[in-house]
Amino acid sequence: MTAREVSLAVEVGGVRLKNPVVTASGCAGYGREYARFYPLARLGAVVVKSTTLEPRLGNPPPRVVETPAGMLNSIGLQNPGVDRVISEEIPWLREQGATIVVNVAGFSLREYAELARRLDRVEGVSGLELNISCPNVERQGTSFCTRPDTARDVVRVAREATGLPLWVKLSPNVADIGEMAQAVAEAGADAISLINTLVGMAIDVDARRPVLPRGTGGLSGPAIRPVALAMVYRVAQVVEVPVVGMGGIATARDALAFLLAGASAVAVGTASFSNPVAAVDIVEGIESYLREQGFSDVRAFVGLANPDLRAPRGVTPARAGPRPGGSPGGPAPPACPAAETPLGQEEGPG
Amino acid sequence: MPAIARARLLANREVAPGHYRMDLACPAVTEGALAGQFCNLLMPGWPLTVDPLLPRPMSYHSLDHAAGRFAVLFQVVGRGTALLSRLEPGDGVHVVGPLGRPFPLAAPDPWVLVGGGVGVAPLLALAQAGRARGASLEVLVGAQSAPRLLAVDGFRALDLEPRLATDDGSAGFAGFVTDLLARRLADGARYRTVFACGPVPMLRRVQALATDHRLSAYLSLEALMACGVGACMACVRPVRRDGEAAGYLRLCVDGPVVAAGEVVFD
Repeated sequence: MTAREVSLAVEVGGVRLKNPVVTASGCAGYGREYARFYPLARLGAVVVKSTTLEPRLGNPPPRVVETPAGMLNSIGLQNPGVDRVISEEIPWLREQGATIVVNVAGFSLREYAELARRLDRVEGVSGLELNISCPNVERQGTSFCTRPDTARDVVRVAREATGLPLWVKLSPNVADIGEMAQAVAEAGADAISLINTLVGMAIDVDARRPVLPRGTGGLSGPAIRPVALAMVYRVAQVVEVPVVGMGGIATARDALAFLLAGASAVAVGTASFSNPVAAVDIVEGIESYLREQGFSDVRAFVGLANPDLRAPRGVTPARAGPRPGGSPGGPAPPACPAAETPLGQEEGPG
Repeated sequence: MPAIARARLLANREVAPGHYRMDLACPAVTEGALAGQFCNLLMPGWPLTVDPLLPRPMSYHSLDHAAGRFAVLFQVVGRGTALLSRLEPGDGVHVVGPLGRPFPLAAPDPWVLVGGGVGVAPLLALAQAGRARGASLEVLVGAQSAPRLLAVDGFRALDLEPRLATDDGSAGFAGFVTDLLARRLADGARYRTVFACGPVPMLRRVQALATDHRLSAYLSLEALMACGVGACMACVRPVRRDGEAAGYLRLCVDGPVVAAGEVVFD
């Protein structure tokens, strides 16, 4: 056991993170609420709530319902719109010293392009995360995320509109997650984040109708963690861009499992609802685990449980041309793990 | 600044069928807490257990800042509250608080506090605070029947004699507590501010009575919450300002206490 430093810094698709833990979009607003509990600069990044071109009121209540080891939400993308996010939220986040990734959601290709364009040169924005799970109003409301061609189109138009690093957030509600990942990577995604929520429903038996006014909602929380882990593992085998893993991560051991599956970073969402400092606890837990296990660099830990890993281990592969958004760099990861400790423990309920 | 702390359970008593008063020692979430605010009780076994997942938001029912103690009053309505009802003295419970907006203690008196069912929960803490600042106040407590009247002894301990109403007439006024409020107003009771908490039909009636009698009124509202800190946008309630729709309030940070004139119940 040594007290030496563990390097936690990773680079995810051109976004430099001081550690591999970020907030999951939609679970931490624009950071203000959790800043009452911890300094936002403690995290790798704040990934803000899905931001749309126009302000959105959101769905009528009830908007959430608790389910076994999880919850369904149907918030309806309530947000103040991109212009107010740029004028009010991002400057405030910059003052907090946070690394900022702006999650954007559009209802047409034009909207994604316009969002990317408006955020392109905003001071303090390190990257964009594309929420492609929205209905495409130009195609009878089919979600962009359900087909490789429509997902690819979103990435392409955003890519043309900005030099910022693009993370593309995939929905698990698809037949072949690997095919979706390949499609968005080919279209120019710098990183892939997954999973978004699973479609679910709860029915009020006595009232004889769905609990949520819109019927279905998005399932999150520990209930979806095994699904998320399997999908991260799969995607990390088929793409050469970094992966940000999320879905039910509540503890450092959960996060470590995602890193082992091949994620370069993880996002913490629903866990913050019962533990407001969950994300910071996870940063500290990862650091102490790696130290105990003799790792000096988290990047050497990424993918160790995934022999067929193709995704890079917390670094961005060299790309042609300059990037306005972030600069690749930092020391190369060690070629092999710094420790020989076998990592045979199962993630468990603790 | 809300704290996250482990509270020690002092007592957990079934004070009416299916209703529990839980007394907790936890200076960190008692310090600075005000009547009308709430705390999130995390599920027993947290953080190792994840089912049920979400915290249970509960109003401060009683506050003893000097001793670092508080109480919550809750009805068993599902798995989470059932688990909480089974905790015993000496057990630990993780709590996040204080959260939300308190009752405005500067509101002009005389006050009338109107509680229906378990909605009486935040009003005892308000009566404590009102007593401490010397406010003139009256308390109306309603329930379905006499055994379900809550917190009556707590008010009496403050030298307040609550006026009671029961739906079945088994104690006090026969009828809803809002009928009792209407009767008191008709009889010339000179209130200046109404504070109320209870089921929605009751609050709607309080809202109407307050408008008719030109009283300030503040309602403590309830909603399904997830985070309790303003991040998730789950616990929204439509509001109006100057008679016009004004979007949604997050009850966890913009409430749970809301000026009655802003609330839209439909």
